[in-house]
Amino acid sequence: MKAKASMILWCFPEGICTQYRRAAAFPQGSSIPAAAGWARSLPGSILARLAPHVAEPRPCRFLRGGAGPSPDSGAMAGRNPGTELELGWISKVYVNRPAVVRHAEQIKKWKTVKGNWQAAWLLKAVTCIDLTTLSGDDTPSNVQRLCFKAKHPIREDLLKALDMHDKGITVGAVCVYPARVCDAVNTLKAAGCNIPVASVAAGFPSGQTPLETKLAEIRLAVEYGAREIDIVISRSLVLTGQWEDLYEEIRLCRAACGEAHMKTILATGELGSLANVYKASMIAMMAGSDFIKTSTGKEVENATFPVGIVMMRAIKEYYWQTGYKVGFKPAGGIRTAKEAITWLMLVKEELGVEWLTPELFRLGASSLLGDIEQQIFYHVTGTYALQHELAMA
Amino acid sequence: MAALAALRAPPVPKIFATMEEGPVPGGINPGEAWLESHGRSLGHFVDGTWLKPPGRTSLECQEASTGRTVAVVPAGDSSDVAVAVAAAAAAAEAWAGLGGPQRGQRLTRLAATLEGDSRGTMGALLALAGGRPLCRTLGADLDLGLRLLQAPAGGAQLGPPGLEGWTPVGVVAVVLGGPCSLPALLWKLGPLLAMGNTALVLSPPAAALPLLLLGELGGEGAALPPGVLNILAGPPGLCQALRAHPEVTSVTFLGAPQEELQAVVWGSPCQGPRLGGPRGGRVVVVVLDSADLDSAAAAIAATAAAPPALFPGGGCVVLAQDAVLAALERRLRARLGGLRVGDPLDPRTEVGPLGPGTPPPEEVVQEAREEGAQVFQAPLPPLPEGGHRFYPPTLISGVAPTSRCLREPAPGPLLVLLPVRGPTEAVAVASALPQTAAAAVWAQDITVALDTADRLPQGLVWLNSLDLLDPSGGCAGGAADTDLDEALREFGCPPWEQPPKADEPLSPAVTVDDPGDPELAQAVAAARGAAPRWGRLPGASRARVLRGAAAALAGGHGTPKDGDSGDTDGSLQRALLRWAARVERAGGAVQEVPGGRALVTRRPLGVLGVAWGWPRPLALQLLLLPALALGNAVVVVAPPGGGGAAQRLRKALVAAGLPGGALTVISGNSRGSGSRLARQHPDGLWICGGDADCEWASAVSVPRVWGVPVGVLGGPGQDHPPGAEQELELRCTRPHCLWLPGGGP
Repeated sequence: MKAKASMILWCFPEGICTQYRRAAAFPQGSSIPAAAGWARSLPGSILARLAPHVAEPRPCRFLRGGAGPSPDSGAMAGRNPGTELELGWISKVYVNRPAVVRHAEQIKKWKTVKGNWQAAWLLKAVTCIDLTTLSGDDTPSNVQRLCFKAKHPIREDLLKALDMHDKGITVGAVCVYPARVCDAVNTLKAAGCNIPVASVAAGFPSGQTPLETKLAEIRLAVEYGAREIDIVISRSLVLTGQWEDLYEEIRLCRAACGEAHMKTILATGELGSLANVYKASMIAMMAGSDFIKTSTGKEVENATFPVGIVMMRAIKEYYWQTGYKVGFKPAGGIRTAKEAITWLMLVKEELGVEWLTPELFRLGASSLLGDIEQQIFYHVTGTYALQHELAMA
Repeated sequence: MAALAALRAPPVPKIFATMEEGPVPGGINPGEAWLESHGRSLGHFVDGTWLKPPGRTSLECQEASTGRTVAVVPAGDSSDVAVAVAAAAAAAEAWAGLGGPQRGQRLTRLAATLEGDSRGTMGALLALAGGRPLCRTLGADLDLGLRLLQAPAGGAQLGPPGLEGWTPVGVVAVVLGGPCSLPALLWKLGPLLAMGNTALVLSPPAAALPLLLLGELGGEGAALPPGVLNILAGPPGLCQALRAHPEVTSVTFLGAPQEELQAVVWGSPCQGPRLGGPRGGRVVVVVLDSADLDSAAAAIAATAAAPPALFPGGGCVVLAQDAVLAALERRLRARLGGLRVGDPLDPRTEVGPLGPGTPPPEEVVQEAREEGAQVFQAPLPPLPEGGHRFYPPTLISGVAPTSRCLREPAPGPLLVLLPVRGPTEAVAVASALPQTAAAAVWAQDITVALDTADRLPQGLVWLNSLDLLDPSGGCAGGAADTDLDEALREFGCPPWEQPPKADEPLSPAVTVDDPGDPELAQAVAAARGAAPRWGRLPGASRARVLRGAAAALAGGHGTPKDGDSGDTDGSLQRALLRWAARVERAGGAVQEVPGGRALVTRRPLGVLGVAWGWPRPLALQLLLLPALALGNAVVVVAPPGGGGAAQRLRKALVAAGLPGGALTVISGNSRGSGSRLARQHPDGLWICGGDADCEWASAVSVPRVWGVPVGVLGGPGQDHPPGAEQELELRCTRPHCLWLPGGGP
């Protein structure tokens, strides 16, 4: 137990270890403990499954959670390195569903923005969108179209009217299946723009594939040029309460991601309870996720406000405990500008205004952008656009 | 106005950088539009029309947040009161004669008017005048207000059970001390009108605007006939004119500073009108170690920002178990810091200004600081002119129960956080806090939560929630508060009520020494000790004691000695068996209410004082029986005749298992014994005969005082008249409601 809970990260030849040592938050010399004892400490099953993948395991030990930048110091936290597995943080988790639902309803009902404020908030939402296409019939052509829309999410003349044309308004990222990463990366490179490509991986959407293939999928996606990886967790580990195994699995995924930022999809619609959502969020953050994300978009129940509130409360608690800010990404079923505003409002309410940046907040959506552009068109011109007046994604 | 707001709006890039929220213009404020349509100069609303007496000085109605004068109303005087009372009295007969179903329909129509187009106007006026944020006045408050109007309307429609033969009391005066929420107002007006009374509402200018709108809406669509609802604006001293008015049969109070108003009316012995009690107090929140701390903190902060509509201005006390104290405090600070303070007319505002006439709680906070407490105050955002009326959300921690912030409720967005070691201590501390109106328990552990909630003394307990209210689930929390059934009865005359007569002389006429205060104190203390032991017994156990006493009486062979006709023991036995059956069957109800379910039950009052002054000993026995059967401990002061009968009952009951302290009989004169009992602070006081006027005056501090009508006990040798048992049952108990949120679609 104790050994499993130790704070260890596999370092692959691509090496995130060196990178982290450069980060201010990670002092020199605290890494590279003796590898031998560590390797024995891994559960046999995982070790056996990993054997083909681990060429040269170089373990590197991270700081204990408590030693991160203190929440009060205001220091820029950098990437969340994760912590040791602290089962104590999830041993006493209680979530009262009716209270959370009521809280969500209040915010949804009363918190709105109008006028110029609405336009600005919608543009902020645009910069936080992970513009997504995750279909069986994705081809280079529609991915290409998506990439151009990502670069020009709002018509130039509308941005000019709002004096926002020189602010580099693009979406946060383009999100595709691993097989389409190359298409997206090439298109964006050709278009000369620096929007990151995010790839779902790790057996998306069900997560019901062997760990080896999950890790291989992640490494390939990174190799293809994805700078962000949206992994899915094994819901079975949550539902059966195998938190140690879940921690190890996400840890390994994080290591496989290397420099790419990792968003961990909890698939909250399949976790059974809000308490499980909270616990899974905590484990995912301890294991080093840069973002936690609600859903794949393929579950029956997707991003709901109560689920979002619970995840954000976990993020806040993790921040209080470690000083690291973890991002939040609701995804699935977000279609209207009004919903997007409510999500921004919820984030501001629960986490604070500093979370309202693409570095810490993303909206996973495909059709949302169209509605936002429509609303901005209305704000600028006073009338709604005809279908042909706005470019399709 | 909207165009102006657009002009002042900062450019989009700036907002994009700061992500501020900006104002919500929402067009022209409907409240202002309504005032404008009346030229910002209103009158009294009397007899279905505007009454603008010529040559009267006018009073200014101010906006709560800025102090800006938004309208003027005439300063009412006694001639206006006379006109309004005459109008109300003239309308009374027709309104009462309309019949319940018709009245119910009219009230439903009023509710529909309020729910429709006027919703925005009413919400805006309440926010404008009272400073309560729009998200409350337009949201939860209005929904609750409508329910409070519809519930008695439905009652009138069906004919409330147990109220057959009840008649209206006539003209009821509602005296407002200051702005009050819509639910608080309708909580009085709904039952009052449903029972067939006509109303005269006296309001200071600060609270008058929403009321005048309500009066006007009552006339619209022919919801209420002219004269049924009359609104008078005027200075607080105006209510003196009511006291002497012979046609006002009942006076009831509302709004914040009630004490002075009550002093005005109660200052001299009250000549007839029945007096309704005030409502209010603070909310105690118990947070145990299995609580969802984030949700608890969010709910507590919302309650601190705007207290539940029916319990305004009392503040909020949080009792947190040691294990979660630090975690909860951190969350509370974060939540309080995130509350939006500002213009109450912005739908996003969570904390409005202090109500008009409410002093800032600065002194209380300063005193706490000097005592070494930690005081956290959220920073106030830049506020419009007149911003001194705002007070920042404040959290006081590290104080002892001796501190002033716990001894007296402080208005404003004020939270006091106290550590407790466990549920038992939480119950003890919550019981010792003065002036509490409701309580909440936050714990996910169902056993601990239910056990703690059950032992709290407050009449309204929320489980894992705050601020859920509904007339069918219970709106009563404080010791003096009533549920809907009682609210209807408050404004009705029972068929057995008889006009107060001159004191009948006791037979035989003997003078005994009055009981000394020490003797009464001892008896009340004994009763306090016995009350929980007896009152917490299940009904079946108490019924067994009553049956035992009945059997013992059947075995004995006492012959009636005093003047009562008929066989005394036979009547008493019958009554014992009847109450035993009633108590055994007594239970509660599960009400389906918005937000979940409510367990509605009735609890014994605790210690009940009875001042007996009538000549019939059997009647005293019949009166004591329900009080004891329903779990109260009773202290009776009675002259020797009645005392003997009570002693006899006591002997039989104690032999059957009643705790000794639960019934104490003290010999004394009828005159003045009520006042002496009142000084011992019982939980309820019944006055039977005696010099009722001075008893009423001195009984202000007792939460539940009842001048027992002689008819409720039935004639000599008779049983209770129909409906009287239910009345007695309600008088012996107080409402208790436990909210269990959850479920629903």
